[in-house]
Amino acid sequence: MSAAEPSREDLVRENAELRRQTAELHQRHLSLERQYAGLEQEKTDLELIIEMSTEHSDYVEDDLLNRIESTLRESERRFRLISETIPVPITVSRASDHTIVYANEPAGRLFGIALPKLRRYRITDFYPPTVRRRLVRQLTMRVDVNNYDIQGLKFDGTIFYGILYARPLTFNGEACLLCAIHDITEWKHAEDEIRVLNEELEERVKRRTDELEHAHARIVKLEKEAVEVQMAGGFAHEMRNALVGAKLMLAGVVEDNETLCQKNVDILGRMYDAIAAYLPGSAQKGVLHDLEMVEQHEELLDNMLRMVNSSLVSALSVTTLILEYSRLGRATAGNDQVSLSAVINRVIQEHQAAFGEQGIGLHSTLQKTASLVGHESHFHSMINNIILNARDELLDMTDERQRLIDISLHQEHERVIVTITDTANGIPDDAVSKIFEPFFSTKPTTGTGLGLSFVAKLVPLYGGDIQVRSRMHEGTTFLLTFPLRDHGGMPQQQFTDRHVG
Amino acid sequence: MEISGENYRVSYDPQSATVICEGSLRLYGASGYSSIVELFNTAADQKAPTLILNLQELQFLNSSGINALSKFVIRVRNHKTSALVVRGTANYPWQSKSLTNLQRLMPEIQLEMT
Repeated sequence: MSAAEPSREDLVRENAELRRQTAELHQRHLSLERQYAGLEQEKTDLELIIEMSTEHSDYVEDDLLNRIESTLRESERRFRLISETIPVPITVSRASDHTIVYANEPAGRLFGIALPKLRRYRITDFYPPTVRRRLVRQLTMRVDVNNYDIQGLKFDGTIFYGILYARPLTFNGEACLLCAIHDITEWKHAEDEIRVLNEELEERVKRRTDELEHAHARIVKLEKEAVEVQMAGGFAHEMRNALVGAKLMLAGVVEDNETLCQKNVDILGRMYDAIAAYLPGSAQKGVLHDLEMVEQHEELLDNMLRMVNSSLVSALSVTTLILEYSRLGRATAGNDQVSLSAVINRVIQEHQAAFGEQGIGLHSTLQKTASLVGHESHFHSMINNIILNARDELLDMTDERQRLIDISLHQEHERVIVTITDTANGIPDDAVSKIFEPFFSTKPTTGTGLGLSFVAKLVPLYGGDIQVRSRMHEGTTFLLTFPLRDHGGMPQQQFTDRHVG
Repeated sequence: MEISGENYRVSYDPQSATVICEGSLRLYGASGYSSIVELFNTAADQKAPTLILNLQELQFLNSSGINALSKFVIRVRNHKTSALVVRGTANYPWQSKSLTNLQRLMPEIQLEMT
């Protein structure tokens, strides 16, 4: 046995070592297998967890998306429901280019264009530049617009008025502007109409107030006139009685040929003749002187009595006139057939001679007319008073123009027209409106101021009309118009007013 | 034992060996769920014969949440000592699918959907 060969003991030990190492390796192999199995399980678990997490994410994402979409749909449905239910025009326009992406029916009506067409336009197309600029600025700043008065343009170019509310809004994922417009066009128009109506109303109220004030003034004036006339009538009545008494008393003193004074002078003369022979020469002269003085006094007294008598006659005439005027308020239109041409002719005859002496010419052009129904004395009074008024005016003339009164009568259809024109100085403008007032006269010292008042009272009694046209230094024309209709069956007219043209 | 946040509540009752999750679990990552995972581990390590996981009031669970829940199931499974009952609801669609998937980790899970 060589030294290199292992001994049997060495081989046994080596074998035992190998067996031990094999056992260890086997144990280790088993341990590694268990670790491997564990790792395999963990790997499987991790893969499952990843898969589960991924699937879970998918489920949750899907669920969330469904819920988001559902919420969006519901939100949009609600938006449409609200915008289509409320009668307020609503638009949604893109912030980037202002294109209208949504509009409800009221918006279409407001802009005057069908909805599908409307969505091809930009919201700024319907606003004037100032509003457009402000809207763009607000949009840029994303600031709310509230209660903003706008004046917009409809598709057809007409104007609408509105109050605008605008809010930034995300619509279909885009930055947009939500606009709600309260259409106040009709309200504006109504406001304008109300303003016009108010102005008209104010004007009518003012006009009516003026009319009422005028009517009130007229009533006051008429009442004053009535009181004045009544008082004047009463006064004239009493005065007339007193004047008639005085006149009767004077009648015994003042006679046509010889007054009581003259008779007294005659008696004294006869008495002197009877006793003159018995008087001493020195006394005769004194008595004669006294007798002459008495005669002078009696003549003076006689003149005074005649003047008093004349004044009484004049005063009686005036009081009679006033009395007649005061009774006119109770006068009624008569039923006689009256020929106006005959009346005018009579008046001319009454005055022609006297007027001739005063240098006043009377000229007439009388056409044949139908008869009027009434009191002849009333028509006589009307014509007579106007002619006498013309005469007084002509007598006041100081220049050398012709003094002429021209009277014409003609018929137009159902109206009889009398025109009386004088060539006097004319009536001043400020006096024309007053000449028919009682006691008004342009000749305060000579006129009674009642002549034309008679005319003004009588003309309306026959449904007539009176106009005055006067030009200074040329003359005055009175135009009397009477209707031919039978007024006998009509209620007696009260004196109303006269028309002064 | 209970953990609660603004919109969620997770509790464990050792007496009934029941874990209840309620509300909306939207915490961020593993760190967000660390306290809840701790609660889950406590519950699993009790090794009750039957452990109940009640999710019927859990409206929402994010991915990190399902991860934590999966680890809880694996822990219970690995202990091999407890039967696991998972109670869910079909009212929340994600539960029908994700809770069924838990059975892939532990086929013995008793899933009770209402």
